[in-house]
Amino acid sequence: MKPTFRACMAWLHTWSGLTMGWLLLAMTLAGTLSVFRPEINTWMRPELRTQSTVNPDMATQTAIQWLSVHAAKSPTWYLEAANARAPYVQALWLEGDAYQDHALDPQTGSPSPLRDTRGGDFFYRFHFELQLPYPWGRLIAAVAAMALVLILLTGIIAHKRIFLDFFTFRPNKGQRSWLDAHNLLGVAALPFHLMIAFTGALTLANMLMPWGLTTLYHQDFSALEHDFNPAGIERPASGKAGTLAPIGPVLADINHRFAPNRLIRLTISNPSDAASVIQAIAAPSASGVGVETHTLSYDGTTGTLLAEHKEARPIMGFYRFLYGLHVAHFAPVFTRWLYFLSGLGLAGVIATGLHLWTRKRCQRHRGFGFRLVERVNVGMIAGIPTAFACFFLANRLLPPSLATRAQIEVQIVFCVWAILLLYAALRPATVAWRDLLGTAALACLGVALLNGLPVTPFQIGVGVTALSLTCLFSYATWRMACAAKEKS
Amino acid sequence: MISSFALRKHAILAITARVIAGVGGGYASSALLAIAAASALPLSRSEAAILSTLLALICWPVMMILCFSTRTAVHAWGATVAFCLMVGAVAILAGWRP
Amino acid sequence: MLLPIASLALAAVCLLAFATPRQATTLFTPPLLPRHQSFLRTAGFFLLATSFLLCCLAAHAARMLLALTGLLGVYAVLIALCCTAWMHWKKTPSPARKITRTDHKR
Repeated sequence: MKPTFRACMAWLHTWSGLTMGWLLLAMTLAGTLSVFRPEINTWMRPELRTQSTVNPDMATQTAIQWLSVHAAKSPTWYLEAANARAPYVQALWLEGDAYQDHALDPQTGSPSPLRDTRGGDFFYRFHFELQLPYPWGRLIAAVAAMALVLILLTGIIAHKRIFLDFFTFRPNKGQRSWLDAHNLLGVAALPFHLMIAFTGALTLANMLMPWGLTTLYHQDFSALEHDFNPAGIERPASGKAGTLAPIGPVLADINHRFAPNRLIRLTISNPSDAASVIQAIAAPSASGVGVETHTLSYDGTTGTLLAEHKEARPIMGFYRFLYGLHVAHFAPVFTRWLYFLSGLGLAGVIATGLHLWTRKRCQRHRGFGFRLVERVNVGMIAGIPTAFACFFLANRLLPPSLATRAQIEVQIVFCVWAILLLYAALRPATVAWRDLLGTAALACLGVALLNGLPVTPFQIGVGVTALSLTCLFSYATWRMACAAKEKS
Repeated sequence: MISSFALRKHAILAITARVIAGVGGGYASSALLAIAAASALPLSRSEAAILSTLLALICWPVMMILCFSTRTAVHAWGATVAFCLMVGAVAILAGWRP
Repeated sequence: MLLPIASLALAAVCLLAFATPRQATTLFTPPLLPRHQSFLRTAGFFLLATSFLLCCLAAHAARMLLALTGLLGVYAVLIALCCTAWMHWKKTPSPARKITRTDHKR
């Protein structure tokens, strides 16, 4: 290939980065926003602001009461318990053929007082499902995660002066500055980038690399389920009708056994059947990182404990640790903001890398490939943040009682994205950069204004982020406007 | 003119061969490594499955790097096929049957 | 517990930044000698190791280590930008200051 190993790796880094860069940029930005999934969920339901503090157990009880009336026939209810970050119960249940996924009001247990919106779950699902039907979205996301690992490794190998240039940033030197920025953002948060890429692929490993599992378990899904979830009780529906035991005492027992960790997820199987099962999953302990390390199962009709499991197996514990590193449920506020900033850093690495590709080739012959990359870069790097900001704007601007407003909010994201890509395709790059970066700045400013006067912590978080991004995009717009004026 | 076109076509063919070796062959190598590790590791089923999956996920990018660092594309294919055969042999010796 | 560890880590990153050859020659007049650079580097790594050790000894060691790793990245970017600003300030001609231009070691 090229004369040296390092040059080969640089070539591989460039071309794998270019082919996967746009997809990875979208996934990274959506994933970064997912760090604050519960907060965005709450921000997007301003009706919750009137609640003072929420008792999680009361919220769960009212949710189950509502579901017993309105979702009695569903085979399984998945409930995420209310907490300080998310003062509502998120319920998922199967109704006929389709899944219903709604936030349930903590006072009434009904979804109707809260506006219908996907909330932060849109970003969460998008970053590993890509709005595509199962299994294609997840497969593509898994391959992209593996590609990111490759891109990072080849980047490290190709980076010649990784220690000598660690703190180097030389602005206003054209291509040199872009490379400095790409290297600085990449190397400073390198442990995060490697971790998030690898653990991301790991979360989808049962689709991407199931061969270890299939070799040992063949098609024995119940044995697999039992090994991965030892406290899980697989009981088929008996056919006889049954009512759930009063959930209050069950919740009290759950809290007692989980103490000092709180309940995060409740799964109720066959709730209207005599063979119903209630499974409870605890949050990670104060020093723990791994997910699902403590689970309980109760008989649904009597409320008696059937099984308990605390993870002690070393490799299984390590797997849950790696999974926990990716989803960051353990993270206290400070660490969560570090995840957010590092995620933005990774998005910056990808964006600067994509821009470098055009920067390096702008003096040479500009063929179709160059023009394509140049214009799609604008549409993606400036377009994705704008489209995501429009999701926040749509949440506030669409009337709360509008039917199917959740779908409309999502459609607005993709419509805006498509329009911006089209605009970038039709206009010369410098002009398109100026205009699209300006639009991004306006969209972020819009979010900051619609946020209103920040009263709750969620509003403060959204406000600070939106204003910071407004400043960043405004500065970039100003620079591009100067460049466009110079050119004309 | 003709020789430069032939040279360019040769380069494209070589790169395509490396890409297929790295992506396809690399995936096959990782899959076989997962199978071999799952079959051979003296651990409980769930733990062996997890460890073999972790090893396979690390193997794929490494194989990709290998396929782009050999001197020629033929060497890349040779290395990939050799690795697959070696790991496949380990799997078969450990009791796996395809 | 995080505050003392964060301060130690900040001091460590500063020392390591100043000990980098490019920064050592361009930020300081006269430029730092190689033996001073290696002394600062050793001190920087020592403080870094101490901060990691303190994380291990703290309650919730795993979470502290993760927070520290993330924090170091933020520090690296901020210090790099500060070094850039310092270099820019040094090069800007000002009538009140004597213009000093140091040799850039590439």
